Amino acid sequence: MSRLYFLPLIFAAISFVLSSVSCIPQDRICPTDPFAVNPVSIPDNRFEIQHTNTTIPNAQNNLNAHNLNTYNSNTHNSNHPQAASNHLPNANYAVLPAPQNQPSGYYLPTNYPAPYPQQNQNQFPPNQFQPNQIQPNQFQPQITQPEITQTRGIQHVGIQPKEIRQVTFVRNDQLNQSPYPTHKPADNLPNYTPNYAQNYAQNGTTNPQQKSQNIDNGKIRQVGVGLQDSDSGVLSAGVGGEVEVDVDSIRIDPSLVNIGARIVADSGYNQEEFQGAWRPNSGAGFWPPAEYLADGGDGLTGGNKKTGADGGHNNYPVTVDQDWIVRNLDIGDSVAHFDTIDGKTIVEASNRVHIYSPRFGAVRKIEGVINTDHLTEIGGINQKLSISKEKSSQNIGFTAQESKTGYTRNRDDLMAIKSHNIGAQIDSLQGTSGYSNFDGTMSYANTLRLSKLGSAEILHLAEGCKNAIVWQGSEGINIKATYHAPMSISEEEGVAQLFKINSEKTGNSKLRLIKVASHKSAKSGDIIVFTLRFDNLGTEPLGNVTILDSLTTRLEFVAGSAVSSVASGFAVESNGADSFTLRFEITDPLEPKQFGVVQFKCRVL
Amino acid sequence: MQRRFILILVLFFLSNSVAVFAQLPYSGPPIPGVHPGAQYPGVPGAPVVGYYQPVKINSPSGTQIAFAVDNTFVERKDAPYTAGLLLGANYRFRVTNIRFNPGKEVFPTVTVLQRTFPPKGKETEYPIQIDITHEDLELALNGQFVTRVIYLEEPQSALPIRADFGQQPTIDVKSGEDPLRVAHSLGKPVAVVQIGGRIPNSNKIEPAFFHGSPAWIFFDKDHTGKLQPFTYNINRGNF
Repeated sequence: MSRLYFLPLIFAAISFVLSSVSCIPQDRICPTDPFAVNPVSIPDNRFEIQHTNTTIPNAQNNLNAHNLNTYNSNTHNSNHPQAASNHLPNANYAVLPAPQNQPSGYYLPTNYPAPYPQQNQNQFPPNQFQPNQIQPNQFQPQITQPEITQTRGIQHVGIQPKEIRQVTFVRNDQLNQSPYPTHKPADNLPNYTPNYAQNYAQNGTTNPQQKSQNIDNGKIRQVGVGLQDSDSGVLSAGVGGEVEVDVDSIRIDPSLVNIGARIVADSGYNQEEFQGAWRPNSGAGFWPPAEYLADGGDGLTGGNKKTGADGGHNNYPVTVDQDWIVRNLDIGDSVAHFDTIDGKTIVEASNRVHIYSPRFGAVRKIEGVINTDHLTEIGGINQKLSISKEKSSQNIGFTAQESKTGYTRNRDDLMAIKSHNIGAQIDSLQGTSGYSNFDGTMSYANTLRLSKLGSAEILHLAEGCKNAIVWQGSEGINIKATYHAPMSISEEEGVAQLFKINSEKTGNSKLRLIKVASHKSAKSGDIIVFTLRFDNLGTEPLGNVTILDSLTTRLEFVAGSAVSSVASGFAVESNGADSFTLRFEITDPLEPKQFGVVQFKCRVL
Repeated sequence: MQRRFILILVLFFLSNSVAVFAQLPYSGPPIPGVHPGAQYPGVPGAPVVGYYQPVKINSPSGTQIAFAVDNTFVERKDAPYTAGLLLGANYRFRVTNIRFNPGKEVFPTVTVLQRTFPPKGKETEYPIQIDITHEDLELALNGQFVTRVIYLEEPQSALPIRADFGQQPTIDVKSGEDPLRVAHSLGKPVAVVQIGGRIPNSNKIEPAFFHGSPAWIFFDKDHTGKLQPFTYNINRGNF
């Protein structure tokens, strides 16, 4: 009986041994052993194409047709039997040659893809953007842009908000009263008569013939490289090449909001962060998004639904009220809203661009004793210690009180940026000058100018214009199409990587909004040129096209830098987060296949 | 008898619960002196031993900085000073030629807690920026101890202040606060700099003062680096 007293100790010892063994799972080290060498090598997670489903049959052919960079599969871990054949040139990996004389051990791992040949880079002269090729400079410089006298804080520019914008806003219940919500009188649009509106009210479309149409033979043509996860069926994005994808095979909801939505956390170190569909071209698979400036998209449709990766703390999509108040416009969102012929107001988000721009702060703590200089009397036996003298010898400059620097930040101020609704009215809508002022630094201008993606620009589109290209699948440049092939959908041309099918939402009215940036990395003080191109890919004209870009707090709008290729109004508003929301209001309706380009500059703070 | 059986069960489950907690990745702020890879076991892409993180030390203009090799400070260079440092290792460097303090020296230490992940080829173009102000040096010379925790700001919550004027945003914490915890709440702590404290004994070499003289890389203005000799046995993992 007395031996039973040792049973707890015996079991405890056995349990401890078991726990020690289970503390070392496979490929892990025990965190309780801080001196253990981490045996985990960096998996080259960037090449998730190894898991590409083979439902992309023409990938390699299209790759060759586009004369893209030779893909050296030997430099990657091609363990997957189909990996070699399915390797597609993802321009995410278009890396520049490593700097000379780099020390050994600096770049880990060393199995990087071969850098692109120099001749490929030479195919992109620095200035191909010639605005006069778009169309003649028919727009006379209009009212000069408002000068921003203060760079921060609430900005009030001009007077008479909303009065410049004289529109006839029509809701569904008012279809019989006005045929078309537009800035122009209805007589300028002879094709749009009340019959169309009435037809829509009866049949759900303005063109009865289109009602029976559907996606042709169940296929859509995806321009760009789509990488399909064999497990989840999720389609992620890449750039370069063309792939024809069977709609049925990619297992998407026909009314899907996003193809390729992969949740990637914007902060923290949870597991989701390591499982992103795309990784930037860094030295390892670990890529904290905190080092990137994200701008564009919508907080819901293009960002992280969990945390709001683009700065939005609510997860609601941008909406437009009947009184033209925009709701849920988060920090960093870039959206366009327009009115359809049947009286709907639709909001479309742009893709998101990422710019590598880490900024470091410091937390300082000062410790130590009070530094005083007391008078020490060694031999002063006959001399009285003077009290006043002792006081005067104290150095009061170094007391325990901490010194404050000029850059002391108040953490409570962070709360001020959590409001993203536009509370301020439009203070001024003033026209911008013609497009002749476009910045011509981007050599991928054919994409913006002609909506045509040449083979020579595919890589550069990935390298320069979109920077991090596709942060995740849902953040790629999207084409939205349902019944009709957009003009960019062909075997030879096109700028998008993914389709976004949402016909139930938009009907025959479709607007594509592409956002690109001139830099893929920037330091504080650098100027970045953002370009937004909008295309009417539908069959109906779009009225009241308005582009909203809520800048992140580290992007400061450069006054006077906004230009537009079409007549438009322009306003700068505070977005409630000590930053600005830029508002371009396109004056004329956007006809089918018509497009426009707006451009502005920002300084990185 | 029944009471003993319950006690046995309790001890058994307690011992196994320790193993369960031990497998969870460490979620707190980085631990100075410990390689960050050890804090994220099994996580793909976690930092590995042997990566030299570029660090740019921006001390006041005119000052000179020297790092140590074999427990001896080597050639001093004018600030700013860009070096590649191993993660988790403690480095002692010397700051001299301080304005208004001729002949005086300060011996700060720097520890890189986490690496950054810049685009390929831009590692030295975007180093971790460590600002050391003249005030910091003055405080250290007057016997006080300054701790600076450098953190990577969350871009979505960063305040719109100009950071290109030569001094990074700085927050002072009170004596009772942990600057590492505060930095962890603001972003991702990437480096710790401690200014003040010990001065070396000029009569004999103190290996402990140099923390073993871990290896480092000096990057010149052309961003070309050269690995410095070292007496640091990386296989021991003694950092």
